[in-house]
Amino acid sequence: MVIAKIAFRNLFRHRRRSLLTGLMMAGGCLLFSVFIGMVDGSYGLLIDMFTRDHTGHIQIHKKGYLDKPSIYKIIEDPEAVGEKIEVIPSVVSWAPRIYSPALAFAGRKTSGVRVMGVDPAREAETTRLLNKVKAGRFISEEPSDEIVIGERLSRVLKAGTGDEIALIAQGVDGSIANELFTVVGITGQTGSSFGGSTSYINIESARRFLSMPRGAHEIAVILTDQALAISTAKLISQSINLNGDIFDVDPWQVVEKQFYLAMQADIKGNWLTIIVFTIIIAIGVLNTVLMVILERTREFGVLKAIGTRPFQIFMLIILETAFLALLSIVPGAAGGIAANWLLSVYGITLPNPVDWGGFLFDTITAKITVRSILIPVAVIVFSALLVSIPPAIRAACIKPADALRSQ
Amino acid sequence: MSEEVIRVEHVTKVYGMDGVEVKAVRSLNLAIGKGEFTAIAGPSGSGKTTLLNIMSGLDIPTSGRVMLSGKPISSMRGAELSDFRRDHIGFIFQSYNLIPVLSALENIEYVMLLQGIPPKERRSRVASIMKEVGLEGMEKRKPGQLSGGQQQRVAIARAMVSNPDIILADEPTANLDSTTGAALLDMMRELNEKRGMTFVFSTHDSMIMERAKRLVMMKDGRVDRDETKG
Repeated sequence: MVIAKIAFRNLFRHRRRSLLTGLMMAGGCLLFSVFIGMVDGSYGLLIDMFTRDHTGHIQIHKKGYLDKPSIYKIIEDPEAVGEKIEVIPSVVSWAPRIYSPALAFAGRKTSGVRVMGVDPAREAETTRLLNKVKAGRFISEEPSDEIVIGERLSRVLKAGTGDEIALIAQGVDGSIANELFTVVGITGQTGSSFGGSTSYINIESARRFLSMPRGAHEIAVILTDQALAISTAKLISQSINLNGDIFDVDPWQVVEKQFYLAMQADIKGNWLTIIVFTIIIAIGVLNTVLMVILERTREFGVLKAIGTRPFQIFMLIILETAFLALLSIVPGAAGGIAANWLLSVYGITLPNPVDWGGFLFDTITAKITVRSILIPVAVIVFSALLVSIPPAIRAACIKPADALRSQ
Repeated sequence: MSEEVIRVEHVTKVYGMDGVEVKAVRSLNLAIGKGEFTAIAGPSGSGKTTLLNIMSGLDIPTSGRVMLSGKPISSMRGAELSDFRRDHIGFIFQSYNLIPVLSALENIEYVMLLQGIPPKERRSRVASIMKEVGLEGMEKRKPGQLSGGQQQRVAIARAMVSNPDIILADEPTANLDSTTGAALLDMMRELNEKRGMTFVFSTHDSMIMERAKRLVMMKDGRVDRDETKG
């Protein structure tokens, strides 16, 4: 107890030095916290864009569809699958989809397209696809000849809302599917994933067009939290694969593997910056502690002479660093929370949006998470204590007679 | 001689300085009895501080051994040595060497805190010793708020409060003016007579030599003269 008392009071012996070291630790804690907050916030936003705009948190396909998509790999009864997954508490909603490649004609213009049959009502509950319409409106809930096309396709075909487009594809029964659709809306902007060549028609219209009486190629599932994707995918798989390994149930990390890996690589790169930053802080703390040892050699000699054990001298140095670190991380963590809150509310708008796998990322934001507070606090305290150990051992091993001779 | 507190047997201390061996203490024998008020004197470099350091376990002899209260202090190391010093030796230094962040009261009770003495007894002992050394009313003052003489009184109180077997004082009056030094010496002599506490001084201060009951004169690392006054 008396060692702790001395350690605490020693912080105020050289107030300016303690203040500067403390500011360094507090600043490090704040920046570290903001970094994690931004990783969680910005990448969280990006994941949200990826998953909520289109992909969903989990996708269900017939076995092998993701590796080699085919119009013949059909989930026969999507409603039955949906009923099974709806009972899982983390599942919010699901939406069935049909995909097919096709050729689109408008007047004398032609282009390859990807036709996507969607259930507008379920899609509205599951993704933000409907919000991506930049001109006109989305297809109606009832089966019709309405089609929504991407902005790029609109330019290639020189077709706008109200124009007719002919689609030619291969039906599931081997027949040639061809039908005339009326453009009711245009999605996205050039460069975004919604501004490309995907065209949206009603799922019932798609079934009719492709001579596919029932079923879907994909079921997108939305959860209460994207972080639950991997564990929930396992639960769903167990639930719907009772009669054999029929379905692939993949979390977004698998479905959007390239995006996920690129994101992980980017995060790792940022961590490297933080490690370098932490080392700089640790060196600063080490410098201060070494200075303390050098200045107070005689004092440690006296403490040992009058009966203080070497371990108590060791603890004196460690406690001094611990107290300084604890006093520093309080404002550091508070500053981090405040900065993350400000960023989460106001964000930083990028002058030029960044294309991230077809998604335009235009705002840097942050999120206050438990780890954005705990990790910086733990790293700062741990690294400060770690670098204090060698000088503390040195102080503990001081020979009193030599120390008393020093000035 | 009364009961022995310290016995120094054939102690030699050799320092290696820039490749040259310097014998600070040469095969020295000395015994200090309980209740003695002894001054170890001699010119600079005679080995008196080295001897005091070896007697207290602050330094290790190159050869020979030191018995303190019947225990071989010269062969103790680490925590065992720290605990032994804490429980058996009181130190008074030339530069007072108080803990700057602790008040006078806290400095005095520091050793007792390390010993784990209960608060009630600690307070009682501190109050008694502070009164004895004339520090009443200065309990809360930090060393920086005390004069040299007052700081040395705190150091004396710190050395005595845990009732050690011996108090070793290295040039305790060197940083004090003659009046303050004389007053402190008289006080220590009084405590020695009243409590029977053993004092050993290393000094070249004539005031101490005059007041000492026994004077050990050192020269070139050896005892040159050892006289007990009547």
